[in-house]
This record gives sequence, C-alpha cells and structure tokens, in this order.
Amino acid sequence: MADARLPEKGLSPYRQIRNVVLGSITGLAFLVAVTPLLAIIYIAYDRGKAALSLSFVTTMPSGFPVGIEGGILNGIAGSLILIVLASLLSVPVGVWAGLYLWDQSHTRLAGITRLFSDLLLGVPSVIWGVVGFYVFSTNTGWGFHWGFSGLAAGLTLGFIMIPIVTRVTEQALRDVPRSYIEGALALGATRFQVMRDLAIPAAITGIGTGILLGVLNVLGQTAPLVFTNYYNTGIPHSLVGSNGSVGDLAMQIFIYIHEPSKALHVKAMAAALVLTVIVLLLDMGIRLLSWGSRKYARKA
Amino acid sequence: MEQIAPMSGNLKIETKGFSAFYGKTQALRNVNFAVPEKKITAMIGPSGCGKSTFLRSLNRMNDFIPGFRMEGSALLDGQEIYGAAVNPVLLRQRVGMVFQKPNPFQMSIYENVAYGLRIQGVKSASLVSDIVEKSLRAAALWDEVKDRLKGSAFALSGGQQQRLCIARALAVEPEVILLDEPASALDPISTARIEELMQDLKDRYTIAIVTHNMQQAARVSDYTAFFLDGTLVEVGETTKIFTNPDDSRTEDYITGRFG
Amino acid sequence: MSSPFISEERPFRKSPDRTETPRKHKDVTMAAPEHEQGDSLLSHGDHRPPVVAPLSFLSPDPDEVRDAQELGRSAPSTETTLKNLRRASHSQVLRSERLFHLTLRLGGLFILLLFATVLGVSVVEAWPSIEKFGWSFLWTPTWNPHRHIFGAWTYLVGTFWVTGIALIFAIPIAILSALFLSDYAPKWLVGGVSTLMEMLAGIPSIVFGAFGIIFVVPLMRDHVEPFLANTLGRHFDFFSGDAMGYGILSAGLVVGIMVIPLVATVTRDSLVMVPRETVEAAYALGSTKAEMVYFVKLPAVVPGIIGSVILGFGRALGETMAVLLLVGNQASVPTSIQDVGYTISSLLANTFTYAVIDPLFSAAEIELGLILLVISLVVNTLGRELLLKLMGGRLAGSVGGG
Repeated sequence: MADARLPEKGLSPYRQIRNVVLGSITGLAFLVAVTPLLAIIYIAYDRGKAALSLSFVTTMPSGFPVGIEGGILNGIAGSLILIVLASLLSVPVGVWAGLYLWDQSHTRLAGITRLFSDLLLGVPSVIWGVVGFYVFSTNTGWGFHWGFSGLAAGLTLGFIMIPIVTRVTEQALRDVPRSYIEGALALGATRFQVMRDLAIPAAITGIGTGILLGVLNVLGQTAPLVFTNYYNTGIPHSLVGSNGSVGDLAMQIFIYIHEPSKALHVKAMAAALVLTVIVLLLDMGIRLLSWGSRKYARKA
Repeated sequence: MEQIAPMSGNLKIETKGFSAFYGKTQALRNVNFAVPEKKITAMIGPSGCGKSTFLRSLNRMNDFIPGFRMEGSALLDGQEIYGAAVNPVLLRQRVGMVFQKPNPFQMSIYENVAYGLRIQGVKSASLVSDIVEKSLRAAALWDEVKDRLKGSAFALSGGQQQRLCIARALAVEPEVILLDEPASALDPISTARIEELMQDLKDRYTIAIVTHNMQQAARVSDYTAFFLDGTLVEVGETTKIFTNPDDSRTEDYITGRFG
Repeated sequence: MSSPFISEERPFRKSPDRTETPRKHKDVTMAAPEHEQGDSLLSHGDHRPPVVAPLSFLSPDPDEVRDAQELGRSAPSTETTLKNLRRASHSQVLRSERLFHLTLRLGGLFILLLFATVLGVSVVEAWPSIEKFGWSFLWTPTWNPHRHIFGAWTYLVGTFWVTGIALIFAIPIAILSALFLSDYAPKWLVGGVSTLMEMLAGIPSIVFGAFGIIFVVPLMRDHVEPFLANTLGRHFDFFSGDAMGYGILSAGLVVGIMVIPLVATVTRDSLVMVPRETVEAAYALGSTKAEMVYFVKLPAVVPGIIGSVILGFGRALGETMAVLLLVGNQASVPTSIQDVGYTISSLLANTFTYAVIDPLFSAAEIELGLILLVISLVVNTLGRELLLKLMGGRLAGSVGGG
C-alpha cells in the first residue's frame, strides 16, 4: 500500500454542503410540522370570527336549524358539568390508586396494577364509548340504565381520566425526595403518617397537575359522548334518564360541522376556537403550576 | 470468625452472626458487634464496606429496600430487633437516626421538632413546646432559632439544618441515636459544632456514628469498628485502634494505604 | 418497578430476586401485620400490660403518681409520660397500619376492576359474533346487516390505510423536527418552540376534524387530487381518482398532522438522553455537526424512535372523530389513494347507536372494536416498554384520540 495516505486536511466541499443541507432540512421539517397546527388556530379564527362576540359564549343556541342563531352556552355549561362529574369519579379513585402504587410499590400486586393502569391509557376512545354505553346508558340487560345522559357521559369520561390521575399521582409521590421520607420514618412515623404529613403535601402540586392533565385529556373527547350522551341544545334539569343529555362543546362542533350549512360551519369554527383556547389556557396553567413547583422543590 | 467485642459497660445493641443481603449480593457477612450504652461508637471503612448498611439495619431502615434480607440476630437490650413481634415503627421511636444530608421537613422549625411528638399523638401544646425547647437546646440550636421558630426550616444553613435534624431526633427521646455520616455535607465549623454536640449527648444517649473521616472517628468516639468488604475486621477502644491495631488491614487503612 | 425507598445508587436493586423473601421478616413494605402477641420492644423492658386509652399529658396520671410513690420513685416526668404513650399506642398503631394497608389496596383493585370491565364488556357483547363467524370474521369482506353476514376485512383495510398514510407523512417530519428541537434550534428559541409543539399536541381531535372539513377537503378536491391524477395518476391507477376531497388521503393527512407533535416530542426526549460523551467523541474525530447528529446521535436512539413511532401508530389507530368527518364513510376497500373508505372507529361512532337494535349487528361492531382494542393494547405496551427501557420511567400518558 504505497499509496496509502491520509485525506487532505480540511472539509471537502461535499461534506460542507451536506452539513448545511442536513441541518436546514430539520428546520424546514419543523416548519412543516408546526405550520398546519398554527393554521388550525388561524383558520378557526378566520372562518369563525363572524360569529365571535361575547354573547357567543353567553347565549343559548336558537333559530332553525338550532344553532344558526345564538351562542354555545349549552355546550360550555355541558362540558363543565361533564368535567365535574368525571373529576368526582376519577380524582378520588385515581389518587387512591396512585397512593397505593407508591406505597406498596414493589409488591407483585402493585406491579400488576401498574401494568393494567398503563394498559388503560391505551384504550381507544370508541371502546370507552362502548363500555360506557353498556355500563351506564343501555336500557336493556345489566348496567345502570341511565339512558343517554350527562351522568353516563361524565362517568365514562371519569373512566378515561382514572389511569391518567393514577399515573401522575404516583409519579408526583415518587418525586418526593427519599431522604425526606426516611427522615420521618426514622422518627417512628407510620407509613400513613408519612403519607399524610409529608408525601402528600410535598406532592400536592404534582397531583393537582395530574388532575388538570386528565381534564385536558377528556375536555376534547367526542367519541365517548356519541355512545353515552349525544347532545342537547338546552341545559337539562336532570342528569339521568331520557331528558338527561347535556350539551358539550366538542359534540356541538361535530354536529355543526356535519350539517351542510355555511352558517353553522361559521359557528362550528368559532366554537372550535373557543375550545382550543380553553385547552391551550389550561395547558399553560398546568405548565406554570409544574414550573412553579419545580422551582420551589429546587429551593428545598 | 469469632469476634469478641472487648467492650466494657452495658451493651445496648448486640449483633450475633449478622449478615445482610440485597437480592443476591451479600452486603454484610457474619458481623458480631456490640454498641455499649452511653458511649460513642464509630464505624469506619472504605466506601461500600457495609458500614452504612449495618447502621441502617439497626433501626430497620433497610426494610424499605426491596430484596433486602438478613440472617443472624440483632438485639436491642437483649430483645430481637427482627423478631416477629416487633413493630419497626415503634422500634424507630427508640432508635433514632440522623442522615448524611440534612433532611428537614417542609415545615417551620418548630413543627420540624414537634413532628415526632405529633405523630405519637401528643396533643398538649405546653408539653410539645417544652420538649421542642429542650430538644433545640440539647442540639445547641435554641439560641440561634428561638426568635424564628415559625420560620421555614429551609432558611437555616446546612449545619443548622443538620442540628435541627438532631433536635428532631432527640424530641422523641430515643435511647439510641444512629448518625450516618452526619457531617459529610457540612463545612468544618459546622462539623466541629456537631462533634461538640455529640460529646454533650453521650451522657444520656447511646450513639453510633458512621463516618468517612478517620480523624473524626478518632476525635469523637470511645470505640471504633473497622469494616472491610462486609466484614467487621476489628473493633476496640478508639485509642487502641488508632495507635496499635491488631489487624494489619486496619493499620493499612488508618495509615492511608488504601481506601 | 422502583419504590420511593430504593436508593438510586444501589446497584443491588437491578437484580430483584422476587422469589427470595426475607427469612426473618416477611413483609418489608410496612410493619409486619403479624405482631399481635408481643410488645417486647415497645415497653422498654417494662412488662406491665399496655394502657390503651390515650393519656392526658397536662397532669400526670394519678395512678401513675401513686404507683411511683409506692415504689419510692419520683413522680413521672415528661419522659415517662412519653414512654407510656408509646405503650398505649402500640395496638392502635398495629390496627391502623393494617387497615391503612388494606384500604390502599382497594384503590388498586378499582383499577383492576375497571380493566376487567373494559375487557369483559367487549368480549361478552361481541360474543354472538365471535361464536357465529369465528376467525373468518377477520378476512370476510362482506358487511351486510340485512343478510346477517359480517366481516371485518373492509374496515381493517380502511383503518390501516388511514393509519399508514398518516405515519408515512408524519414520521419523517416528526423525526427531523425532533432533531431540530434537540440540536439545531438556537438556544434562545428551543424552550419556546418545544413548548409550542407540546401544547399543539393537546388540540382536541374534533378541532382537527373541523379544520379538515373547512380547509383540507376543499384544498384536496380543487388542487391536490386533480394534480395527483394528472401527474402520477397517468401512470399509476393508485394515484388516480375523481377528486372528491373526502377519502383516506385527507383523513390520513389530518391524522398525520395530529400525531406529529406526539412522535416529535417523544423522539426529542430520547435524543436529549444521548450521553454527552458520545457526542463529544464524534466531534473529537472531526465530525461535522450533521455527521454527528445523523450518524452518531440518531442511530443511538433507534429504540426510542421506534417506540415513539409505535405510540404514534397507536394514537392514529384509535383516532375517531376527525376520521369520521373526513374518510367518506363508505364500506369499500380502497384501491386508490383518492378513494373513500371506512375505519373501525369511525364505523362504531357513526352506526353503533342504531346497530344495538340488532344483537348480531352490534356484536359484530363490538368485535371490530375488540380487534382495535387488542391491537391498541399491544401497540401501546410495546411502545411504552421500548421507551421505558430507554428513559427509565418518565413518560406521560397519551390517550387514544377522541
């Protein structure tokens, strides 16, 4: 190999160009990724702005077909009712299960429970709809026979929230420094006392964040409502039975956009903007909360 | 290997053939050891020699580590620490512990010290405040914090936090205090204060301390034990261990030939 | 599987020998439940029976004072009072700890019950169809409620078409975006754009669907589909069609847009886990930045990328409302990218409420749902496991789309 020698020092033009091209491609891809997402918000605003006003969120829908005039108060109120119902079920159960997974972390039963909790995170929302239908709504066979109603839908959404709250609660508790827990145990505190006095107070922001994250996840859920609640143009007096359906923002968008009416499409886009803004604000709130608690934890 | 601890006085804690395992790894091998009452016993040895594991075994803090198990026997006042009838929670009220890193709770200074009493159900405010003051005085912290008892414990310096943790441990009136490298995260002045404090406390408490720092062991302890690879190599009066050890490995370690 | 009490630096926990129980004390989680009989360690060697009632600490117990005087000792100090308290609390501590232990376990049982409900409802309600059609359900292309013949084939194919188009579109963009976020974005920008990306991932899918109807469908119908038909479509039937706007292409694209943030965020999370040493080693050999990023960093996180793609697949698979609005909802097997189709989830959301009138019809629909459920569970578990291995535990949950 008489000819063997090192390549010349310095970058060949090929390598220089490749470096620039491969770098630029990533920026370009990022733009391609983000542009449609931002376009969604812009188009919702652009196509919906004709309907946007304060009264849009404070009045009930009216006209024929219903919704062509008036606002989306029924949807906002209904979504709120559903979230409250979902939280009433999922917060106690999810936090409870999260406490269990943390406390008895390495037992075999906890391992199995954690596995199934994670599996529940992957259940598609139509399946939740079917399950909610048979457990709460159907009027034949076993189940609660609540019909298409707010209670049925709220608790179905609660089912979806449970594994989210469970996971985030466990994670928040695990983030409590071990030294902190050991300090109390070494004083002769019981596990219950450690949990009540130290672990939960230290993890409370994390748990709160988890609950909000769960709410965020079910806020835009539409499919389960098709199976358990459908839609109501008014605000119901009861949450159970044949007149128990509630309005819902996501369902409202679905119904409006499904109609071949330009006027309803405008309302749908305006409602989509409202829903998106609520979701993004909630998301921002969660970020501020967890950012604040992290800052606090660093000081500790 | 039969190690007879050449110790005088009443033996507060005794272990016989004590071995500890994490899963399949053996961390301690057949340790025969004793901690004499109202004395300071230091445990030295290189990292990973098992001295911390041993200390944590004495108030069953290792119970929380999955895969931990032990063999042999450990006795507190002649009673089996790992006996079936023992509630570790109540054991730990008798055998307190102070950790390497100061770990005050996210509460006020006062509540930190009072916590141990509150979890035992002590309701009387006057009793609690008596004990809090007594404990803070015993930990030589009272004068520094008496004006800000309601302030956050995190506002204290590292050394003060560590003394607060000692006060917290004292408040539940344990009989034994286990110190797991209590000064390793502190500056020299804070370290000196903790060492002084230990001398004050030894009239009333049995103290066992794990330390990385041989000078510290020589300064504060009455007895010293040298651990190596999970075995207790040698134990004896501190002056003897540091001047005329029986085992050549002890001599190598204290003269700095390894570790 | 780590407990809050595992010390991170202990190498031992990696070899958890679950069958090996501690010899002396069985229950290492909490106080062993079986210490009813003795209170030897609690009574300070004082073997009087435990006093159960909580003692008053304000004044010394009169009995205690008398006992002490009779024995010639001084009246009890705070110390003895505290010790009495310990004896007093012994049985209480035991009882409450055992109760606490069991009570907590109930919370975990609810999770198991919920999973059993999901699986149970799906299997039981699908049973008539499973029983009647057997495995042939999977490849039967007929779906005829009137003649009571049901087969999954059309919907399976439709589902995989939409998911496939979504992923082909999303994966390259998502991975390159992840590289941008992890290596190329300027420092002052990276926090902001990462957060933006994560937040956009939270836009509800119904909003994507509405956007699809309002914007994507006209765009496809008037521009993209005629263009495709006139170029590639001249040579391949696969790209030809009569430009309706609705169909698997529109649905796939919108679902693709939807899963990009998820895949990009998770990929970025694994990219930032690449050790600094690896990066520095690449630079020290004279790599350009692109050579380091593409030839060293990217291959190092292949499991993470596969994991994130699998999660994206799971998300796309279950996506319902946007697809329902865009896919055309026509039960035919697509042969061209411009064709309409039907997916499992859009079929269920669209027709389930009237399918329930006929037990076999609804059973067939639920069997479709069961297939979707099983695939989703497998896919999610697989993706999660891959990522957990790579990142050691921190992964936010993602719910199948609504």
